[in-house]
Amino acid sequence: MTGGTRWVALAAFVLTMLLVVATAVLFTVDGAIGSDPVSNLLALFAIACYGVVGALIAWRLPRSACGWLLLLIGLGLVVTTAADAATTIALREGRTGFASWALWLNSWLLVATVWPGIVVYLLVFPTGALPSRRWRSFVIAIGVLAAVGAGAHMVATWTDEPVLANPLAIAALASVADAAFILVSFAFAVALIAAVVSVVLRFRRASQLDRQALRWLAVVAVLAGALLVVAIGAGVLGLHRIGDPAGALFLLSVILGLPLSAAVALLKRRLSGIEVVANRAIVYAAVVAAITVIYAVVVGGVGAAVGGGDRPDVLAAVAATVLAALAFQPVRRRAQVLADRVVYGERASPYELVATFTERLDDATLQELLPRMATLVAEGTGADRVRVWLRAGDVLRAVAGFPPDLPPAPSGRLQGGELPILDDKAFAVRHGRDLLGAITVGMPPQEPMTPTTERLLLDLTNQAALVLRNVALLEELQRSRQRLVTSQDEARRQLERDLHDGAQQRLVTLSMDLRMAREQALASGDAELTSRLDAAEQELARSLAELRELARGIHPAILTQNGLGAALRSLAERSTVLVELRSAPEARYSPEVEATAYFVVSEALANVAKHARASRAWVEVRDGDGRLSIEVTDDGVGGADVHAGSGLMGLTDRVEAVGGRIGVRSDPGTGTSVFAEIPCASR
Amino acid sequence: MRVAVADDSVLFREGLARLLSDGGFDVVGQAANADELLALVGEVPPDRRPDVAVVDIRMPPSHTTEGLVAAKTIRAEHPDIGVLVLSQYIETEHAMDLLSDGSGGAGYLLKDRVADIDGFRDAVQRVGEGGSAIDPEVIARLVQRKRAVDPIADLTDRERDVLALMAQGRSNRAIGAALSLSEKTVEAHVRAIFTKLGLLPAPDENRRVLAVLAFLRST
Repeated sequence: MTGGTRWVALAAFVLTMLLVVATAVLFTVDGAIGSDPVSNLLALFAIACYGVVGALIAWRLPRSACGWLLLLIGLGLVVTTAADAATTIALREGRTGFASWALWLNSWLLVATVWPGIVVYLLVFPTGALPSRRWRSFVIAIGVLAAVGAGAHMVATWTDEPVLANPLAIAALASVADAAFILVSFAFAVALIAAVVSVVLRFRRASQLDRQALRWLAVVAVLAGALLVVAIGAGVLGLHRIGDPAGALFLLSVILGLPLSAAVALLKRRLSGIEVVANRAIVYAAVVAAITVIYAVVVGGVGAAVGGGDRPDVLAAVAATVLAALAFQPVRRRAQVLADRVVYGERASPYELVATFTERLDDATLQELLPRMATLVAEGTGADRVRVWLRAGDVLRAVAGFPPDLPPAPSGRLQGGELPILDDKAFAVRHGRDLLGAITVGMPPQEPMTPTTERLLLDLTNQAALVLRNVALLEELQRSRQRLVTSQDEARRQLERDLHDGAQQRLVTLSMDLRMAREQALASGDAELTSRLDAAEQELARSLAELRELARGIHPAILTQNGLGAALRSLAERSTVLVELRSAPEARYSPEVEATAYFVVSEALANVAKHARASRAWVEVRDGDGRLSIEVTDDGVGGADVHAGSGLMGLTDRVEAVGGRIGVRSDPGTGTSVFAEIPCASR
Repeated sequence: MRVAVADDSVLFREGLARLLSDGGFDVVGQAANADELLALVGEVPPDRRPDVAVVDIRMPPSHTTEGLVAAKTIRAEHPDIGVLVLSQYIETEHAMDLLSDGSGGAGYLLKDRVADIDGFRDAVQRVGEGGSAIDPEVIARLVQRKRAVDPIADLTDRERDVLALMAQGRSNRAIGAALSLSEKTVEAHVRAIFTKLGLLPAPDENRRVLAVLAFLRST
């Protein structure tokens, strides 16, 4: 962003800090700190947090409203606090005019800045923008509310103030201002609740990263909301003993909670190098503190022992310097460990990562394996982007990445058996001499890759080789299972067609011939021949019917002809129990998908007819999210033993071969339900 | 009555042609695929033009529903020529596809029905005269489908028998003969069926068939 906005952030930060220091100085004047020095000092510290965190975020992400709002809240709070202290001091010195103006500023500033700031902040955190355009009018309403509230305070008559009077009071508007206070307070309470609700709602829909950030805010919001309710409730009931501390705690939780949650959440998101700043700050602060302590102890201690008093002890100073120089490296290293832990939290140490890498991948399913691997690598190295690439022939495909919403990367082609040039630094994954794939790592600009990280990644790729090899083998296995199903289906289609064009056709012709022969026998008056031909023809008709069912069971022609929907309707019509087909897709799918879905339903219905003692069954097949979901339910006795050699289990292999899942729920007395999911792409 | 026969099996085609000519039909042409069939009903002199075509649903080149497609083409281009589609599997989907334009002169039968020589000749005759011939299996399936959603349980067994025959395109007299009932009784049953199913009584038998079919296939 432009330098200009950044300087505004810096200026706001400096102003806040100057005011914090000024207020702290005011506090040293007797009585200015008020009746509760602890919470006032705590508040001052919290205000400083707003300044620091707000300025950091505004500096790094000037487009995000978060930083600016935190700065606004911080400024509003510090001016209010300073004005409060100034009022007390001015009163004691008898300068009522100055005291009145200070109190006047104090009276409206909170409503004008802090209250709207908090509500809007809750809406924009952590993305820095409103959840949707519709909230714009809400924000405008908050602005109007703040203006009305501040205006009412500016001209109000101070009735409960014994000494001071509002220099700008308009007596005629006293009752209007009173009504406005109540209205504005109430409206802000409602707006705050709406904002908290929006935090909860957004949490449920948020991406993984936003969710992590929101979780911190949600904790603060829920805590503050609960305290507010207690404070208001107790206030209404007149229980000031409960209400006042609850109110104070509410204010404190909001005051401290917002910047702290923002700091933790946004640091966790590794926003554009904030963590590097924090990391360095912690390291240097710790080192400086340690060296100061060394000097203090050595110089002070040696000085006291020698008893030299005022004379600067050259010996002690030299000793301290030597000690500090010797201690510098170990102290720095310790400090670095401490800083890493504080800033990066879960980032594992390199050794830990290598040691637990395969172990942490142990319980992952095939689909989760590579994404988890990418996540582990990112966590271990602090990388912005990690991609896992798999080689198939000469092509290198990116199959997983971190963060999960990383845009897809184009496939690469091997260059003479070696990795092509990729956008990020690539680490080849080999098993023996076989190139299996690669891991690419993109580091944030503020934290370039160190030789240590590079060594770590080389170690990791050795371990990744095993994983990638297994994944490649499993993928090959899956492909070969699918090929098997496809060729099996093709064979079945061919067999049905052979039956249809061959045996069935011949037998139909034969039955026609037999019938004509019977007519002739009847005409010739040969009763015995007629009845023998009759019997033969009936037998033939039964054979034909059986053959037809057999052929249909091998492969239903209607499935190829008219698709899954028509085939399922046909199946439902022919079932011996009443079948209600609640939903069936009309789209066409690949032959494997259509056949698998069909056979799942047909096998399930066959089981209903054979075992369930059901009067009705319901079939539902739906296409959604790239998957066909199938459910066959009956109203029978239930309690089906899924493993007892039912044909359904035989279908498991078939369903899994096309990448699907199948399951059965059958409790005694509640009927049986077979459900399956098959990945599909309609054609 | 002039008939054209289309089936890719020579053996069956010849047998069918003999069965029909023995029954007094004039077999004016035989076709082994859809294109040949369409040529048979297209540019031909009036005395070679068939009144009805008997068509196998599965024919070359793809062996899926070429016969059905050809039958629908004939019905669209030559409404005066009846088509009777034969299939080794009964699929209501196909029957409805064929009958969906709502006019008469169409039939759909299981191929095995040719063995019932008289019944089959009767069906060919009916379709050639602009009537209907629907396989009883289709009707049974439709009834089954209907019962699963909204049971036709309201109908008595006898009414269901009458409904099935009516939907096949049989006249009241034929229904009466088949069920050993007087024509008057059949008429009473038909009225009861129409009332229970909420249908308007149809003026002629052909429309009656279609109304019943339309009811049965609506789900």
